[in-house]
Amino acid sequence: MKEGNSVIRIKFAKYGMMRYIGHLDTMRFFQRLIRRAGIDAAYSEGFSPHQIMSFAQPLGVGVESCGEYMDLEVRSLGTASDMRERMNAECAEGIEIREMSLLPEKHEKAMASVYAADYRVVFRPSHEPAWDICAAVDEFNKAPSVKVMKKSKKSIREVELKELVYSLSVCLKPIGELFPEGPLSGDVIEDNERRVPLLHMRLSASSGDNVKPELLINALGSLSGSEVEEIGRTDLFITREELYDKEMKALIEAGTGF
Amino acid sequence: MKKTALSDEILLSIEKPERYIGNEINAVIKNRGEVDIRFALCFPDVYEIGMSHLGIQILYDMFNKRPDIWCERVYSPWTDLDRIMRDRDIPLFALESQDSIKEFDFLGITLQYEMCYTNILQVLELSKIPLLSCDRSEEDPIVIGGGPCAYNPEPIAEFFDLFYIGEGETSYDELFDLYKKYKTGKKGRSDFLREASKIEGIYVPSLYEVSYDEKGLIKDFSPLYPDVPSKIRKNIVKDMDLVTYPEKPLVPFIQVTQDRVVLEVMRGCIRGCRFCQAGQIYRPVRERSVDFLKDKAKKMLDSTGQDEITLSSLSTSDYSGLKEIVDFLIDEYRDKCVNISLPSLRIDEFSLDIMSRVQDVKKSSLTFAPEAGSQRMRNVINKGITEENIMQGSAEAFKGGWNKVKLYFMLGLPFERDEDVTEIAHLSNRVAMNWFDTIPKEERKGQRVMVTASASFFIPKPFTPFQWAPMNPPEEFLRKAHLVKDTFKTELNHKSLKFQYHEHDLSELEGVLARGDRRISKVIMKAYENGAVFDSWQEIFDRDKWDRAFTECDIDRKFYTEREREITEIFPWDFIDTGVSKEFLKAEWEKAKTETVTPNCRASCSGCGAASFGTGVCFERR
Ligand code: SF4
Repeated sequence: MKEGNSVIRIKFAKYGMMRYIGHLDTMRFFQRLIRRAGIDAAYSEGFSPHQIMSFAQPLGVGVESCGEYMDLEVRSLGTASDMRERMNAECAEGIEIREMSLLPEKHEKAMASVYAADYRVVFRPSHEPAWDICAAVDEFNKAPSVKVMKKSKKSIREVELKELVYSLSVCLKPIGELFPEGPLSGDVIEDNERRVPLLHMRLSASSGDNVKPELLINALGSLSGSEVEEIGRTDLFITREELYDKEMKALIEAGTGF
Repeated sequence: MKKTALSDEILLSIEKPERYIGNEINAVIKNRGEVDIRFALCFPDVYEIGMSHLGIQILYDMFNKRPDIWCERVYSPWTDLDRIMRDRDIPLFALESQDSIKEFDFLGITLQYEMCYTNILQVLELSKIPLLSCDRSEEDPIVIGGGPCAYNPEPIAEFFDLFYIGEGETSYDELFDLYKKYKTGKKGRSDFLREASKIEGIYVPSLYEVSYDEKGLIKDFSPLYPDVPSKIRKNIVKDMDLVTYPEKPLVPFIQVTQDRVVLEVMRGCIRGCRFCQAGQIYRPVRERSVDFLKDKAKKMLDSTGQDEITLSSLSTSDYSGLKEIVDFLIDEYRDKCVNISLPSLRIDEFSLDIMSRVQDVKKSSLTFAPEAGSQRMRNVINKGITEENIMQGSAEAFKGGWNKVKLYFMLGLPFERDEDVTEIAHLSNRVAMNWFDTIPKEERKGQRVMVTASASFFIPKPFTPFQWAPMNPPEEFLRKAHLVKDTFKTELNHKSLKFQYHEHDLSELEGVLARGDRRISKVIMKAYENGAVFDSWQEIFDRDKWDRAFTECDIDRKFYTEREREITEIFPWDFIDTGVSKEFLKAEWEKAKTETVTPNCRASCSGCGAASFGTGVCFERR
């Protein structure tokens, strides 16, 4: 880092139409947003200089989040609230800057700090499985060990889910409350009062052991016994709510502005 | 949550859902109830191509400046979504409101290349608009075409209600005002079209009749009614500083082909290359002032946050304020880490100097477009670049550290002989040799020069001096390409040379569409019914679908491509007046035969006729 520069951490939400914007395009979006907002970002050297920014963790296309993080090197600082306002004024609908903090000179990159993530998961209307979700959650929480096969780009290996799921709970809610803005495009909610499961889970999100909510949901399906149909990404409506470090502290702690 | 026309499930199952959701920075959202006219602006190709087009950005901005119009965009759904929309009967929609195109007042389609013609039908069909103008009713949008291919609208005449000939900035207000009168009044579509035909630059194909003689040549082309003009004169902007230019261009989420802010420095070209349609139809050259450009550069960069800016025109080296605007951009924006990308400039001391300031010499390559290998042939096509220019320019560049050179050529030019063709390889070899002569051994440090020559096949276009020329048959193209390839192998420096040529499959079809007449409409329609779409995409283009269409319609494509036209022949596009006279084009065609060069407009005026617009280079003091 260049003498005199600082690194700020930005927490943002991504929802609505912006759910369809992929990770690389979100980065491009932020590069342009930072210019429009007149943030005094630092640039790399060379013929095609770029902003020195890094994201904590990519968010899957289709997933909403109110707890995304990125680090940005800047040449000068304003106040956090002023910078946040300037950025929000230039945002597209569906991206919102929530908080900013100044990182100490010696810091771990957001990417390296991420250890766990909170997710809120609901089934899309008429995509709910036939098996009993509440019972499966119960069983999972009681079981001493739940092993599943985890696929990555390179390999398939068996992992112990109990070590990677830090908490899991479920409750029943009227479906209308779960989609306060109305259902997703193409979905229909026939009876707003119908009670459906709402799951909350805290999953490992470290770079080596990232667990996606679908993996856990399908593991629950298997626990419920009989042959069950695989649940895919588009059966679920997922919101990432927060990212945590090893000490289970949010990547920006409330009240650390500048 | 804002509703998308496509369900969440579809959006998550297709490639790049960002193509279909709108919501981009600087997209214009208005209230449906507060506008009188809804205009859907269409580029009939995939989003990434369409979003890169400056003309669309200009019109989008200009239309939306009117409070009574909401202009939105629509592009061709890519093949994955196309299938889904047909299977599930989903109508095509505009990006901003996500409303069906069918509900709009206008569907304006820009015609940038002939190979997009089947995509026009795709857009119409998916929008549930009848493909033929004569089948449309009061419920359908008015379908309007514009852009360079509108200079020969005949092959697609039956699909359009009207064409706009010329530059979009001039006559649209008149058209919209007329439309509003008809929308509120009792009169219908056909009355509107009849009245619109009287606006300068507007062509309503259904109001004209064509007859052919026994040889299939046009006998007569004339309006059906006395009040409909028999000649359509193109519209042009008189003062480039006085027309609107976008200050807040759209910023796409995904990477598009032209992913930067564009400054159009001038319109037209002084050069008059005889193969080039743009060089003729955009005459005369009109420049923008440097002050205008400085102001727009700042506003566009501020409003988009883009990190790259480029200059655009047909021949930016000829822009008289080039040094001033480039110096300004470098001084002002280099520190702010804005990349300045320069279109291929003519290689000389000045351009090499600025290129070395804005790009990495080691990574970039020099581009020359001699278009033909021999000087004789360059005189035929009036390409004012000499071997000396190339050798001097490349020697300078080699000293400056460049060692990659790209050379562009055409094959199948009129009056071409085999010795012109093989000269492509010889010239490339001499450029490589030039590097060895310029850079002493001890400075080469293991590097070597790389000269890449590429050849495309020449396609005669309307409104050029070569509009009379027969096109080479595909076998001849291939023979010539192989001849060049074989000659390359025999060159002394063949290890430093690379040669590539474009597919010839598409060229022949493009040749038919470019100089086609109304009878070609049914071939396009058949090909589309056979499944042809995205024909400009090499990996999708399926020659067989077109072959069948030609057979089914009993149309001989060679009539359009390989036939040598009589000098007296009436062309399908003759009813359009581009300002450049047919007499001038004829004279140029004759001069090509005698290898005679015509000076560029700055050197001296050749009286092409474009001075009749009363503006531009024609009135510069020489
Ligand atoms: S009238 Fe003369 S100066 Fe004007 S465009 Fe034609 S040739 Fe060029």
